[in-house]
Amino acid sequence: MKYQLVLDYHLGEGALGPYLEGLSEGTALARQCRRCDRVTFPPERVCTCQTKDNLPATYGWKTLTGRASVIHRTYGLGGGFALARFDGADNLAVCRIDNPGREGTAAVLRATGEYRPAITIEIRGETIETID
Amino acid sequence: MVLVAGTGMTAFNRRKDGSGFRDWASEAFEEALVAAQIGRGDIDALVVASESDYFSMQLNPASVLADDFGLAGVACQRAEGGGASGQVAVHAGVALIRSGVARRVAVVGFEPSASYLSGTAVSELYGYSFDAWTDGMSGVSATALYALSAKAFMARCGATFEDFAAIAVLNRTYACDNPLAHLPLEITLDDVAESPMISDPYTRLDCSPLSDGAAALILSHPDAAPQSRRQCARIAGIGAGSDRVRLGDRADPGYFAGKQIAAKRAYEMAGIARPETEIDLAEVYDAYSGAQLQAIEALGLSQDFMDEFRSGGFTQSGRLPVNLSGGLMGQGAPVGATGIAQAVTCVRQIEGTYHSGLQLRDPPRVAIADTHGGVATVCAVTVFTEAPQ
Ligand SMILES: [Zn+2]
Repeated sequence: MKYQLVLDYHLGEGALGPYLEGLSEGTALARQCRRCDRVTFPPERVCTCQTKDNLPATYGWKTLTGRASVIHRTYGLGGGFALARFDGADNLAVCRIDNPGREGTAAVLRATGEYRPAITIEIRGETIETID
Repeated sequence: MVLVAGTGMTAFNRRKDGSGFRDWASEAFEEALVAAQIGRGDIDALVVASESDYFSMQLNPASVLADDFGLAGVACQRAEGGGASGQVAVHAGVALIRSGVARRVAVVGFEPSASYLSGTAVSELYGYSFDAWTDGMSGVSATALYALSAKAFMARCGATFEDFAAIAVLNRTYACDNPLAHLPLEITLDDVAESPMISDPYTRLDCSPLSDGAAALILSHPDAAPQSRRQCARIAGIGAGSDRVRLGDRADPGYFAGKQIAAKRAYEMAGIARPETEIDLAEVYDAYSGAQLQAIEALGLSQDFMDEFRSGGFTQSGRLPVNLSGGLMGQGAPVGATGIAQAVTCVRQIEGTYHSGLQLRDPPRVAIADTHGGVATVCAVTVFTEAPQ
């Protein structure tokens, strides 16, 4: 038999709200642990320092430059994706590559708009002079 | 110890006969029940494995299958852990018996991953198997995430595209002797290299297929099995573990740390001190060709896994045969059934009743099954052994 299901979600963003809002505008908003200064983009809810000793930690948001270095990349039918480290972040981010095929490891964050905000980068070559 | 009193599984393929998951699950259950030589009334509990209601259009599938199986009144539940769902269900069944809650448990896994939805739709849904709120929003596919993990693995271990292609070829070769397999293919390394690039380094032939099918086990407390089945294979150890859900939060995105944790726990329960010498057969989670090598590394199956792989140590005639069923790439991957089918292979190999072209001449004494969900995020390992002599 034929059957069709159409779903229209309105997802509660919760603690990820500032991060997702930043992505839609092209701003890299990272989460910073005030206890050990670890910076994560995308944000970790609980810092690794807290998972080690279970002592309380508090968190704030930190705006990064939006520059990133591509560590690994893959190209194929679905486009290009990378594991990249944003300047100032201690973790890596899975990113969609906006301009797949471009050589180089230097990249910058791109705004994605309000629909499905996600980390999207544009590769600029080996170095970045300015971010526009 | 928990006995595996009976096993059953359907063919894994893309169904074109109009049948549905309830038919496949019933077929696998009936086969396992007959093999176990017990009646429906002897089953205390049913554990059902299925990854996604989006695939089946059935929430609460355990209630539906309990009814279909004629198990009125049985305790029933669903177990889910993405690609690990089948073995998570096996572990739940083992826990019910070891805790004394149940004496005999039916574990049944199914998934209509192939014929119900388009491949495009299934692939998009699989993209939500990871951190749907961050990585998943980028539209990244499972293949792309596995590819990024494989790139990190290749950079660290020196594995090549040709190494991966050799696995893609070998698993399809084994599938030719497995009448239940989805992709029995006679292919070459060139065929793998020339098939369409899905996400480099993975071409289409490096990927496991989307399959329909079901598999089942009847587990029993040693004292509750029929006398005729008291010498059957048993589960000596179970272990589960997890890793950071996002690749970018892991110390090494190319290492399956959650799998290592799961294996260590399973080996400890089974009394295996040296996995690199004490295991005779392994069914590992080869969602992609490279993932088979990553699994062999994390499971601790060799002191020098790259060297032993390249010298044929993990082939049918090697020291430790891996994925003789064809694995996910050859036998197929109906998600909820996958881990249970691995158990079926291990048990039948130990009992000497596996497909004739693939049965080891000296049946293995110790076999392991390894699955995971996500990119080795939710990991489950099970150790099977022969009956004590
Ligand atoms: Zn911290």
